[in-house]
Amino acid sequence: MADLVAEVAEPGVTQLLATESMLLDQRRFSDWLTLWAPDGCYWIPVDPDLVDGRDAVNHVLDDLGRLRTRVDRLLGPAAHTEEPPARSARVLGTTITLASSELTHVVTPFVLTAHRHGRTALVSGHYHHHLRTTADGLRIVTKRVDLIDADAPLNSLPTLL
Amino acid sequence: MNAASDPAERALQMVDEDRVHRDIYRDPEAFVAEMDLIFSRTWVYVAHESEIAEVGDYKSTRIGTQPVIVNRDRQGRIRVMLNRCRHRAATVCQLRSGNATSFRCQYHGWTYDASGDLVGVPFPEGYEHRDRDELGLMQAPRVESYRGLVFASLAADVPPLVDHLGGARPYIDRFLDHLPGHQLVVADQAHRMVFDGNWKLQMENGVDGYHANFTHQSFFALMQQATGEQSRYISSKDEARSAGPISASLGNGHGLLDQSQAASGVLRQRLRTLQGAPPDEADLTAYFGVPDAEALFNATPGPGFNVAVFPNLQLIGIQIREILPVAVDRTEVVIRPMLGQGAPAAINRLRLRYHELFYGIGGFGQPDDMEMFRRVDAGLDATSDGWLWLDRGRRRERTGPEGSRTGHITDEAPQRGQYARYRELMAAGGEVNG
Repeated sequence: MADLVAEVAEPGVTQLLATESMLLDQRRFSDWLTLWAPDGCYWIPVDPDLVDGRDAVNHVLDDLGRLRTRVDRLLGPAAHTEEPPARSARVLGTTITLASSELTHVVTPFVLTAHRHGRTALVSGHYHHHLRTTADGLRIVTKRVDLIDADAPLNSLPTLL
Repeated sequence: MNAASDPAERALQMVDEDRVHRDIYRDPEAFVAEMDLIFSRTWVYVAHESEIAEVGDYKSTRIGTQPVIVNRDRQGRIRVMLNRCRHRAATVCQLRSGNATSFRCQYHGWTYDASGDLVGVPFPEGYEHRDRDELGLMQAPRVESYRGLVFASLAADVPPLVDHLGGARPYIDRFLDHLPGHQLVVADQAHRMVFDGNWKLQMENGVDGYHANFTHQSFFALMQQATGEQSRYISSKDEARSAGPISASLGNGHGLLDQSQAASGVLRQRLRTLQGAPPDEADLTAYFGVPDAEALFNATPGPGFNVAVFPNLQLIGIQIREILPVAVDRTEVVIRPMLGQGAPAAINRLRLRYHELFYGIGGFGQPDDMEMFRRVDAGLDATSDGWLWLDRGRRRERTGPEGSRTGHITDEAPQRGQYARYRELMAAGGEVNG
């Protein structure tokens, strides 16, 4: 019966996720990068049923190098999608711990609204974080964003999810 | 803008040789006329055969705005049928793809086999005067495949597909053959985009060599940062050269941007920055475990040109791109990267990562195209300035083989070709029997 009871995540985990949400909504993307482990992977699959995205088409499958490039683009002067940037507010649901071994795997439902050019977009889904405990605290090893409409026609990612 | 009452006639007045009027992007009646006179009267791309490889495999898609099923019947024959019950119109196929021996309308239970024949009607005694043989799913009268690319026409009296493809054929061949020693098959997932704007914006943009430096400024800046490449892929010096990259109108509305000669060194450097890319000093044969690794690696970005087959197919990079009009101001775009069947996983992964670098909602390029479509659509609100200009390079256009018209890569020769075909098809309205 254990799997009928959700295991609510530890305060250290929810604090990290709250920090992450705050930094992303404030567009402090460079600060956000400091939450990542060097072997980090940021993944937004087209098919959330996959356990490995490497052989698939993904919306995003970044190692830390490409994620830094992504941040450079969003903060740089030349990305027309950021002129002006969207304002966003994300609301996290209760974070549930799915597994704790070498890495802690937690899942968090989210709803994000993003406003730009007179239009408000709604994005929602589940964040899956795999976290590592380090001397400097928890670090993100993988973040998978399962959009509820991952396989539907989409127009844009209004901000970093 | 004018008083012609027939929408097709009105649309014709809105399209000149080198300019088009805003109303063709905004007038709902023009859109309906385009669906009838273009999408229902010529060859429309519907599938790659690898999407429906086995008997019973199907996909659902649209021809223009009409829902269709593309499948392989029991004999392995490819059929394209309207996804619409002959009784009271409900769709009979609900999924995007799958395998089925029959399609049942769940409204009243009419059942069709994989060939579209009506094989089951509940309580048939109520239909003593109806001939069941005439009530199969409506079929596209013409379905032809060119080397795996499946096209359908809702009009019977169209020329053979190979004639329609005409001047685009050599480029389609080069695209399909660009990965040495391997057949290309579509990846299992697709990038699906949607934008609030007219389908012709994407039609024009897929072979627009003028926009890249500006629309994709952020992409080129990032690549310059990563590889040291010179970000401007077209310099004003190139413009003066006659042997540089080209744009072309290939006849029948098909268009081309060809930079295959110019770009290979730059692209190779970009590949080195991808996840899983071999280190600079790597022996590629050892790294990928196959003797022809060098050629496969070099082919990662695709053949180096964009070819657009009027009205709805574009081959760009390693992708097959379909344009699906939804409404006069809404368009879907389906992008399927092609992978090498039996190619090393590391090669296919590089192809995917290179594709994702630019395309899709998470890419560093295509979102800026979507933003430009939004801006064009917003600018079209300006009714006092009605015309959009496609005259760039018209005077320096050269006539090539089979009536093709070639210009500098930034010229609007492909778009002029697209609209020449647009005019032909819209003008033929009423004369062609569907």
